[in-house]
Amino acid sequence: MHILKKKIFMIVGFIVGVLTLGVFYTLNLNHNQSGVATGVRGDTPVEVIAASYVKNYNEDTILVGEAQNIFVAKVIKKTGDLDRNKTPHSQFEAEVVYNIKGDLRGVVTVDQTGGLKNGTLYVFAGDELLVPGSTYVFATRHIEELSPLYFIGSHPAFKGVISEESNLSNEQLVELAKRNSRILELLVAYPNEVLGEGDVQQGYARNSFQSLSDEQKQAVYDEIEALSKN
Amino acid sequence: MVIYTPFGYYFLEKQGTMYTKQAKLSSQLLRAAVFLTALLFSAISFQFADATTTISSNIVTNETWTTANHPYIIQGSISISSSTPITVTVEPGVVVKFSSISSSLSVSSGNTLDVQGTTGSPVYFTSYYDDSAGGDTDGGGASSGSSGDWKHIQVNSGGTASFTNAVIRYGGCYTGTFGSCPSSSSSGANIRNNGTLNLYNASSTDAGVYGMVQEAGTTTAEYFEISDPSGYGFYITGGDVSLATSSIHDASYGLYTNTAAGNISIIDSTFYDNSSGAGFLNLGTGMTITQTGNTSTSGVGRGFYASGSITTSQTWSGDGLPYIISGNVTVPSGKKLTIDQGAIIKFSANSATFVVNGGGELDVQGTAESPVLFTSYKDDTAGGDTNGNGASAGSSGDWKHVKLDSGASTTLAYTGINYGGYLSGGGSGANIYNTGGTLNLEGSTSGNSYIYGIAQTSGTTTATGIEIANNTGGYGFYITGGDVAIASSTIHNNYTGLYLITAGNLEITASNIYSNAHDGIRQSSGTVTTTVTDSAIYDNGDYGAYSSFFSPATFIAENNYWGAWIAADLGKNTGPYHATLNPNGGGDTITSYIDFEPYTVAYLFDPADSDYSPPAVNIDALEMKWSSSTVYSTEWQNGINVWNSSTTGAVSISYIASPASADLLVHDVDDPLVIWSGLWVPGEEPPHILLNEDENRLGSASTEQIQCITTHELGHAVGLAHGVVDNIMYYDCTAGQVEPGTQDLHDHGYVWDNGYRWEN
Repeated sequence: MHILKKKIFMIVGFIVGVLTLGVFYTLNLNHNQSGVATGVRGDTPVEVIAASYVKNYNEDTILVGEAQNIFVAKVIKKTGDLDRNKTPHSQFEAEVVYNIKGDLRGVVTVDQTGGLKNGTLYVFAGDELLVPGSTYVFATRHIEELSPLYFIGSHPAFKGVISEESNLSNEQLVELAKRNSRILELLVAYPNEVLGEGDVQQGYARNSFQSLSDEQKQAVYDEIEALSKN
Repeated sequence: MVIYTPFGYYFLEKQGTMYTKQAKLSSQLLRAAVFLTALLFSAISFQFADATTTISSNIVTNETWTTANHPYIIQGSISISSSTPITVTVEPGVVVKFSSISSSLSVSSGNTLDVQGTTGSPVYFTSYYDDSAGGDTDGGGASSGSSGDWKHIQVNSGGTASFTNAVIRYGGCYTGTFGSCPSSSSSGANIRNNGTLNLYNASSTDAGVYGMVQEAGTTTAEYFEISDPSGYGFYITGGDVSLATSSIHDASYGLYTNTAAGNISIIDSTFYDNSSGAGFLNLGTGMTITQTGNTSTSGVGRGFYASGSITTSQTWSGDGLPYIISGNVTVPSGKKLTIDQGAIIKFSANSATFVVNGGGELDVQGTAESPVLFTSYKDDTAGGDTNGNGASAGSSGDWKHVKLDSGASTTLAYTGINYGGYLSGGGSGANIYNTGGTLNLEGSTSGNSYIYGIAQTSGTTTATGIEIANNTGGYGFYITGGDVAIASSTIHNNYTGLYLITAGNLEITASNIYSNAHDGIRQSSGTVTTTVTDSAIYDNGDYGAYSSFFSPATFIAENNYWGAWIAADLGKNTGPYHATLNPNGGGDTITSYIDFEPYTVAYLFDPADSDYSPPAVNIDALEMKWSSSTVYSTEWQNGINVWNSSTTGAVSISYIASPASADLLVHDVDDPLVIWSGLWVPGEEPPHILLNEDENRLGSASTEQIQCITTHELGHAVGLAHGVVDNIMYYDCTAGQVEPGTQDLHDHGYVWDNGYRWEN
């Protein structure tokens, strides 16, 4: 009796397995026929999302005006996946080591548009998900009353690699950042930033240069002068 | 030959200078009978061998030399000389010996020496001291001949000599070598020809200096062997020579032409163990060379050295030994040198050069199956170990260049040119150096030069199907003047592929330019124009195309593929990268002032891969149904009209009420935390387009900007990627472009023209 039960269990298991494979194959075939996959990276299907803008973010003054916080931070780990506007986003903890606009300290959570959803990787063209251990300069949208996250702009100029070395100290990373021409470019743009009219109207313009005290402004100029000598 | 022994007898057969045992009769009875018979015949033969004949005066009547009267002893300078033609016939097996260093035999005009040896009974012309032929003729006990023991056999102008199955050895007494030789009329050769000489299955060995000398007349030789002279095997200073299925070995140069050599033909012959080379051809003598099927398997210089300026138009045949150039070979005005398929030209010195003067013509006729190669002497991959030094490889700068002077004409068809570009002493650094000639290249390659694969200062170059590669020290093609047109060619793995500077016009079509370490194409200062179209320019280290100009370009680079279909660049367009003009280009970087639009295609998806397909399109119906709604309905509909009205469009966009049945959804969002105004999100079922109403985005945008955004996003839906500035598919709609640009139409036409490309 025990052997008979075992045989029945095996036969049923086999049939279920075959049916499962069949269904999976059929679904997978349909997926391919629907033709929505745009590529494969490793074993992961990739979809390329694409954004368009009404501002020229290749102009640093516009970019800096658009961001509430610009800083250098070392990515610690990925902490979450959230959908926003039907689009996957990824969240990462990052330790701030240097500020260009704003004055962040310690660990913040940055949000990157793109990520995994239903086994598919969504990224902007040519983009990669942040790599823990690497250090970046981020230009972010951050409106505390709307979200605690720091949203990295989807335009490629809003993010740049400072170092891929994970074992550097914060002091070493700051030194690297200060020698990076991109940091100086952003700092130089800061006093001349172009604030978004919508942000000003809605009260979302934060850490603007004009809002700084004279002492803080002088500190920015001093930093520009110091970095210019590197 | 038969050798008798108490144990039997052997048939011996000559192979070269060696005899080999062929058969042995083993019957005891037969052996005994044969041995007794042999003893009898040997005794009789010995009596006949003593019947020497001394020739001490000129021969003036017809004579036949027989074994009954041999050996014949030539004393002094004997001439076959008669005002009425006479012939001296030498029968098989006869031995002729020359008694001293003054001894010679000459054939004067109108007369004939006819040597009729057979394979089994050759005729010998040898030293008086050579006991191995005709026994101890000098009666001095065992002795052997030595080089230079006698002078030569001389065929005078108008005389004729034929040697069939003959051995000539130990002659060639020469004043310069042997002080005691008579100074007058010594040639240093076993045979000295000024008349008509025929040789068949003959040999000339152990001569004082030269195996043979020809000063005029003609020599026709087949199965002829020259070996062990102290100098050249065959020294030709005049007349024509035809050598077939012969061999020359253990000489300095196997063959050497000089002074007034004529037409030299060497077919299916073998050269080996020569200490300087298989041959040396002084091209300035008026000579021509035809050589095919020859081999040289040992010794140095396993080829024919060639030097000088040709004075007679000629064809160098392939399928022979390599031609080795140690100095200059020049094709002068009014002359044409044709080089047949399969020929190998090797250069043995840094200064070695191939020059075509103005009015001269070099026509190299390689084929895809049998190319012609110009390369280093050290390059064993072409023609084997020509320099005989064991395994070696060529290196850049081993020789100078193939140079075209002003007015020269050169065609290089399927010709491989490698390892040139020696720079010192007037070198150009290039494998091919055009200074004002007309250069035609078809299917040829130029690589591994010291600096340039090809350099041109003026003149014209027309190239089809060529490959310029691995000129890592400099540029594939360096142009400082003249016109260059290149089609269907490949230029890769150079430092820079093509460099145009100072002056000149460069036109490239349907070619591949890739993996050059620095730039693909570089255009610099001067009066220069570059046009490159319908080509692929990718994976170049710094720039795919570089222009140093700061004004509207003379650099046209339209309809090219710039590289993008790699995983890391998935979704980028195939255009070149330019920080402001095409920041989403996935291809090689370019500088400003290069007209690169349109590039081939900017589509998101690879049409070559059937797994890829444009999103949001119903494959069967070639239509896209959209649903949902947007507050920007006017601009949305205008965007639809743009793509539907495209004259090349094959896909139609229309509304459907049910979102469940739609191919595309459009949604408005109001999100101040993102910076985009429009977002294309594929992959969902169905894909969707988001329009951001935030006050910092479309909420404060102009109508034109909104129109640009909606049309742009719909462009993604029909399969287009981000494009170039001044196009709808450029991702920055700040300028508010509302009409498709050149690249937009080009891409849309490419994707949809001729129907649906992803159908499979």
